[in-house]
Amino acid sequence: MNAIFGRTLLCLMLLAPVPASAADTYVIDEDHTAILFAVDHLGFSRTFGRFQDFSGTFSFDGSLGPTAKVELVIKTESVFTDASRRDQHLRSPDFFNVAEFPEMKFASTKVTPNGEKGATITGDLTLHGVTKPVSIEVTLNKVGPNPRGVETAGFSGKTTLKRSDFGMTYGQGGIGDEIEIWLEVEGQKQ
Amino acid sequence: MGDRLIDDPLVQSAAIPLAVALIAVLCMARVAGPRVAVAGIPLGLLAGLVAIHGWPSWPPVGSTQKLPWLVIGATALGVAALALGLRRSRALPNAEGSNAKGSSAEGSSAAGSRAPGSRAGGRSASSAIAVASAFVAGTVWLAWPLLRSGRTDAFVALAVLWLLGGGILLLLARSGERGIEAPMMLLVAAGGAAPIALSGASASLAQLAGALAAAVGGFLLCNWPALRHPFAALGPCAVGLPFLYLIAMMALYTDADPLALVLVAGAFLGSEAARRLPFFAEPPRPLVDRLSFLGICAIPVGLAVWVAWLGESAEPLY
Repeated sequence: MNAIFGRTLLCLMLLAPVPASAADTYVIDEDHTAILFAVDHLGFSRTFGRFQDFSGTFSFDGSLGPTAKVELVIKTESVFTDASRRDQHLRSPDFFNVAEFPEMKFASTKVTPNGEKGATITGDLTLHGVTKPVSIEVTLNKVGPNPRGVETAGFSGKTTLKRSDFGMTYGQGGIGDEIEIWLEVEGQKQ
Repeated sequence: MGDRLIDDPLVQSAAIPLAVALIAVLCMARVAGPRVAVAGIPLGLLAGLVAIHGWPSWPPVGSTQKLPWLVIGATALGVAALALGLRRSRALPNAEGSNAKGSSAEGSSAAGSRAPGSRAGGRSASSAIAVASAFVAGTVWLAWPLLRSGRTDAFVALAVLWLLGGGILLLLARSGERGIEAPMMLLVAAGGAAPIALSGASASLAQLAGALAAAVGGFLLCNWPALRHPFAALGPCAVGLPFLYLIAMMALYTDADPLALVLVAGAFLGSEAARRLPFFAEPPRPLVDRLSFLGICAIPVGLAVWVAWLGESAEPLY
């Protein structure tokens, strides 16, 4: 009797939905993540671009709380604005200087919940050899299994920074100093 | 309006460096003597650097931020070497007195650098060692992030740079003794380096090369029609080194064609070539000779620019 009860209990435990435990780690899914930016061009329009090569992880317990963490590494070489000569210029010493600074990194230091699904992620952004604190406003879109049954979490984020704060000073007369950045992130639980 | 004017690339890389160099050369000649006047060229370049990149930051975190400090260091080294040399050699002819007599200035400067005796020879050798050390140290500092990550291409680029740069400094020092030829070679070489940097996708380095050419142009304007300010004493260090640092930046961090950068060095053979051409025989014809000399220097530089743009698409930077 006890053995039957024990097996039944075990089966029920295995079948029951498992809530996200403390600090589950998610690996960023490159195919479903976008890191986009926009910068003013001579006051006429905004030029949009994205980074195509990056990797990272985030960990959280199912809700955006103080224990959540984010780490992101972006290959600066992968900057893409859909104009090959402009991308070449962006990779030059005038801007990212990708030969000298091949990566930019973001590591969160603090997560402050903001409403039911929102949070402010503060962290250190290292860009162009300069490390400065940056805050990203994020919204947790959804946590749950994807169609293949893999536990997935998705966020949207937005921040603004000044490139001159990171020593990227060239051409400020025509190309804006303020850079708007959008993040659409999906991660799969490890 | 003022902001828009200073944001204009032509103002940043031509008008400002030329005006600052011209004024600085004249002021320095009056205040510190004609031998120091050539320091107006790096001042013109620094003015261009500030206009293009803003005030230098310390400590510099990137190679671009290292450039102004390298220019300042090269100028300070040149001035220090000159001051030490002048203080120690009372036996040498007083160049500043004779400089006022026009083109004889370079002759007296040359006499200074070729003065007989072990003291003059030792001073010349130690000055050459100091310039060579500054060149090697400066380029290693610029290339350090690449060297640290073990990039083989950076080691190769540095080796070629040191070979060519050593030759350029030597040719500058030798031709500096023969009047106006050294700054004219630098004018053509820096002017040619600008489109090569642009082909390598760096507009800021193109602007800086243009700024150096403009600053040298300011110095040459101060020496028209007669040479008043010798180049030899300070020029190879204060102007030659910044030029080589710009070339190093292009070689290490841009897509500029390496062959084009090597060909630019051909401009510095202009002085040697001119000496072998009967066209430049006596009697001297200042305007014709100078224009012809510029033409000779422009041949390898023109070839370099052609090579640089050969591999590029016809589309502009963007």
